[in-house]
Amino acid sequence: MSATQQEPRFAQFKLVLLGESAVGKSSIVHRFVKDSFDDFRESTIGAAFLTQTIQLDENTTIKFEIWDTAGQERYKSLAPMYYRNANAAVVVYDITQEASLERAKSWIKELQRQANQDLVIALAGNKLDLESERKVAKEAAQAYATEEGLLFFEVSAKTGQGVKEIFQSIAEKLPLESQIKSKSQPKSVNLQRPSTNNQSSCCS
Amino acid sequence: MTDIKPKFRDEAMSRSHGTSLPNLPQSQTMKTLPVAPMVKPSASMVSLPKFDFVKDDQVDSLDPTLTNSSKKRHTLLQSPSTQSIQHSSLSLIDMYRDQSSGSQESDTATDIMALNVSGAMISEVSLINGSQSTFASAHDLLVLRNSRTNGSKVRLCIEESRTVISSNRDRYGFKKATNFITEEQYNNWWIGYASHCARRKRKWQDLMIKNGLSLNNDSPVRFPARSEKLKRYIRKGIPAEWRGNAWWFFAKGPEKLKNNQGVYDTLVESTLHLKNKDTEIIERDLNRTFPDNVHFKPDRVDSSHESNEETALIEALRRVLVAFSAYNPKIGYCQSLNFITGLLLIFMDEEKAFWMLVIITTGYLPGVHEVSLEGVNVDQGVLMLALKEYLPEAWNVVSNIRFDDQCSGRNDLKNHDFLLKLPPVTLCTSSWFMSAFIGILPIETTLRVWDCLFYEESNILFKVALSVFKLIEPKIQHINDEMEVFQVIQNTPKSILDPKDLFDIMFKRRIGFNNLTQDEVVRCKKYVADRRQRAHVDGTSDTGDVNFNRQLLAESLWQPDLYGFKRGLPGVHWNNNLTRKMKSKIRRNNNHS
Ligand SMILES: Nc1nc2c(ncn2[C@@H]2O[C@H](COP(=O)(O)OP(=O)(O)OP(=O)(O)O)[C@@H](O)[C@H]2O)c(=O)[nH]1
Ligand SMILES: [Mg+2]
Repeated sequence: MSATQQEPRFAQFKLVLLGESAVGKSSIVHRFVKDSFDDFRESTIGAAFLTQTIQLDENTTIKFEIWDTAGQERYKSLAPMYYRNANAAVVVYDITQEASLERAKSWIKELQRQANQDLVIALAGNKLDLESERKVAKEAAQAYATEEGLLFFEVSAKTGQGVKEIFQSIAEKLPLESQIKSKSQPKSVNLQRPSTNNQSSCCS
Repeated sequence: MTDIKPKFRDEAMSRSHGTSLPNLPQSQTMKTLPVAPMVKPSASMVSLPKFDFVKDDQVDSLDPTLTNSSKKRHTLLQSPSTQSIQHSSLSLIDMYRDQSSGSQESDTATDIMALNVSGAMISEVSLINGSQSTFASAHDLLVLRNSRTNGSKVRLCIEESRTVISSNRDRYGFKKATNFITEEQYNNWWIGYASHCARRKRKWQDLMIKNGLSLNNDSPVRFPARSEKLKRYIRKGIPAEWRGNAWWFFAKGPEKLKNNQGVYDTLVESTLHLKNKDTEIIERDLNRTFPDNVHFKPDRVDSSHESNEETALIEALRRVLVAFSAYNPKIGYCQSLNFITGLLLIFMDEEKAFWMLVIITTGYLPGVHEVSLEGVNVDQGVLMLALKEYLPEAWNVVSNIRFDDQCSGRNDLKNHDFLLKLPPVTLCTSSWFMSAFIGILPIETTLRVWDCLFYEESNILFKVALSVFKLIEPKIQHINDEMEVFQVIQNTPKSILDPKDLFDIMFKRRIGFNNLTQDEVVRCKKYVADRRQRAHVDGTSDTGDVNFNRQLLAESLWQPDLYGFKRGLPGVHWNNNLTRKMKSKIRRNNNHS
């Protein structure tokens, strides 16, 4: 994308969160959308839809349309509906639960096989604040992510550490120009800045 | 796990009656009910020392004519210590205060008496079980009994009109404010709704008396025979403090329990230390069930200590879910059952909640929670057909949202191919049925839906869904952005604070949702299931449901005798067109094979 462009630009991207139950998908989304954290949050049934708009640079506004899915294994059969049309996926694991990384890997395999070719995938290890209970070495996960060509982050929804960066990096990696050019319908791209911030209309 | 179930059953049959819970009607023991609202589970109560009971000899003061089981009934209702009331600054007196609190004054003696019974019962039960059970130790059982006793009093907090404006919680213990409703909005609505409730309660009382049924100290266990009048009454709301009993009665819980005496107790004892994939997920969900409800997550007066102490309802929730996962391995544990069970536990004791869960997952939401979740897809297919038929304008908007460019909309619609590859709108609606609208509609509206559900049948859920779409319809007519449509669909139900807004639509003759009979729903389900099954066999479906099981459809989901619309379509006006299509489709399919 060219930074010299003066005209304000606005693009929307669909993003899906995947990962085992209780790794903190909903918590990450809420940190990103509302900048808050609850120790007790309801487990997700089906999926929840939220939006958040970020300022990528002076001229560029990006609106994320986020599907926060339920993590239990059996919900997997519903997942294709959610990632079918996504531009980006954040696959979350819990750094204190080794098995959750394995689940994340199997999600990534499925995405690489089934989803859009140009889907941007990020792997995120959550609960970084629980360093003392860590079971998954950063290096191992990092190495896997590099090998698969994924963005990689360790974050904490609780402290907020690293959460914004996931979405920021995804936004930078998304093919903004092609999104603006290829989609001609006004519903996908609006060259005006949005007049309202969608934060207030987000769901719980 | 799979092979445990028959064992439980056999055991249950041969067990003595000593540990089984009593039959329902124990009218004389309900005398102590009015005390109960003073006792609210609170941080201090939950953390009561487990064995702090008054001595056994005080049991003598009890009426000797009480039977064993009715004593137990006492304990189930009344266990908590009276001390906790004084210690907790958040007692029920603050939370549910109303004008008539004077009636509660003289009841401390009864309360203490009940406490004595619970001490006696626990030692008695532990003796019986200690020698019999191979699953749990005597100590386990003591702890278990104590915990079960604690869990059962919560529902007694629900008293008509006891939500005070000054409290930030409603009468069930939920926070009034949500992301979609402010406390002020709640209070404004509640002022009017409380008088509706009081009025309805008087009507119910009259109805009961006219039918010669006992009010049983404001906890009736039997209700009038089915009639149009009763249906009307139920649609206007069952009195909150009668709900548990009424749901239980109308869903045919008593019959279920009668055929399964003691089964739940055995299940609980034998699963006390169960560890597997299901229990792991259950553990993760316990603290994520109604964190906005005081009975699940109390306000901590003093956060410095006992902050990890579980509430009685959380303990009960664990037992019911674990027992259920062993009882029905086809379902095991499915996220959303925690909410269904949690809501039941607010209104009834855990054994009943368990059997209600069994009834709900097999009778009202068949297949929905099974491993493949195919029941969810089938329900969504039926909802899409109904939407198309009843709310063509809404259908027009939502069916035009498609994710795959290759889908050519119109053709797809003609062949009902959208049943195979469900439209994206189902991303929003698939959770509606899984939780039977818990968390989708505000709590009072959900409860009113449940009132109807257990008296009527699962078609109510589809009527609710259509009514929600009726409210959504005008809002999405002119929205171009598909994601904004999703947002409206997701958020609209969450602001239906006043049940009237929904029920007026649902049952207004003019709107016509009444035509969506259970018969029609069953037939549509059959059609959708059949359609999906064939597609799956042909390999044309892209649902990605690797676990899809043909037998699932053949066996458990739909009654086979309704297959093929052989019964004709009496009284059906709404979907003749649809029915014709289905008929010809099935005929064609049959000819092909
Ligand atoms: N310490 C710590 N706890 C976290 C963090 N993120 C989430 N949690 C906790 O982990 C639990 C699960 O978080 P959720 O956000 O509900 O998990 P989820 O992935 O959405 O789970 P499902 O909805 O079941 O798929 C909650 O109790 C959170 O409080 C974190 O960064 N640090
Ligand atoms: Mg979640």
